[in-house]
Amino acid sequence: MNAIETTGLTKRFRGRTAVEDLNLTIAQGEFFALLGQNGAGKTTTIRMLTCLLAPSAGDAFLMGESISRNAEAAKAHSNLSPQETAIAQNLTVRENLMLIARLYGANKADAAGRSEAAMREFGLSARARDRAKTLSGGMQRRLSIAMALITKPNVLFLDEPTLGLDVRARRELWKTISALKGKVTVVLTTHYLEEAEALADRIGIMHEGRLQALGTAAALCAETNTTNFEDAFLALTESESEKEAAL
Amino acid sequence: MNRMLALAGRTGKELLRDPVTLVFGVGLPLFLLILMSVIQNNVSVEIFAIGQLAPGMAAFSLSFVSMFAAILLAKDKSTSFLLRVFASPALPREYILGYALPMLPIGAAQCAVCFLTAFCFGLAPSWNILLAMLVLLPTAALYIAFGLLFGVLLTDKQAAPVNSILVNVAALLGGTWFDLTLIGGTFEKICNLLPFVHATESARAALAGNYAAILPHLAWVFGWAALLFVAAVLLFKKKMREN
Repeated sequence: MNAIETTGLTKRFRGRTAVEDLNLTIAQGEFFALLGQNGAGKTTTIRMLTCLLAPSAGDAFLMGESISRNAEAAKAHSNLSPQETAIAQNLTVRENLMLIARLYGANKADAAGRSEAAMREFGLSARARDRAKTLSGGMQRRLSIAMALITKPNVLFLDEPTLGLDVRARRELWKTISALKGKVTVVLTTHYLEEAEALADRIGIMHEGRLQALGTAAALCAETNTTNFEDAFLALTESESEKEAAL
Repeated sequence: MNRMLALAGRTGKELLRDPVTLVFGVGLPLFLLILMSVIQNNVSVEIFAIGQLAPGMAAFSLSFVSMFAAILLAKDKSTSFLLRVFASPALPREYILGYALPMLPIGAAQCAVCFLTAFCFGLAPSWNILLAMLVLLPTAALYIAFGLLFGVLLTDKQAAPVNSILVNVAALLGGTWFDLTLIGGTFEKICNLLPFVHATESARAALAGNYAAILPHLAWVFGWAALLFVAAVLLFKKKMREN
């Protein structure tokens, strides 16, 4: 069974098509990066796949569960670390983790056990009793990802997890994220091309709501006759008017 | 149930750990109660009788519950914490109750502090105080509904100022400081259409042991609370779909 399968997934907002006819399959354990310029449809896609937005047409299946017909079951298979840190500021690190575990059905004892394990795994044990708002930006993002993983999801959505972090914090978070490879299916959206190139098994590039290209970083370079991934990305996301101007 | 309790626990902790809750929710009404009681003790005419002022102030203090709910919800929107909750398998009724229920004991505690302080200024202990606190629970629900509504509609920067307006409107049109019949006319008619004065008068009637007068006032509070709750829930669900 595939972790994610979309069939003609489409989202329209008052006449504007944000995502159009998306057909995509992501295997279990795969690290998949979804790239695109602002407004390309990445976040809308993630929001549909996490059952936050209902599709206008088509459907998607998470571990075989339809996001349209059985959202509750689909939600139980996934978790999300949103663009913003999305943590409860006045709760401690441990309380934040326990809260999310309990929201996904764990009882108090189970949630406490999972929290301890998550804090160890993400290097947060020393700050267990500190309120989340006192953590550095990098640690807040680490907590945010730990909160997403504490529910043991089959599919983890990371929506621009390193956005706004300084270089050092970003590099540290990369290490954390790369350690997830093979353990869980990860769908990552990012504006940092080197992040996608270094981490992802496959990369999907969205442009104006459509899936423009799909493959490994090397395959996308070969497809566009470019020598580096940034050039490949630019070639694939060039608008029609830019192409005409270039001619 | 487990999910609702988890969210309710979180809401309670967020509020109790925020100094704004203590300063505005308890400190300000208490300061005003003490100030007016001191004024009353120093003038020969009866302006602020403690039997009228204490229940009025208890009802007024509950208007701050709206501010707590609105600010928390609006912040949860801006930090995407709400998105995380929406993405979980929690059901809409579970997270709405998770936000609303912890506000009730906080409101009850605010009322208790007001009445306890009023003892120092001559309020006689009686069972009717407990009845007044019970009668004020629908008022707490009313302000929780206002808070949820504002929290859904407003940003975290807008929530506090808009709620300040509500707090002032509740105090002025609720007859907390003065008898609305002194102004009368259209002003009084408008006040009687709104829930604030009925919240105040229901508590006053309970404290005075005027039991027959409680229900008509309470009916207005219930009606408004129900209306606002339905609006808040519908908007909450709409917001969820828009995400």
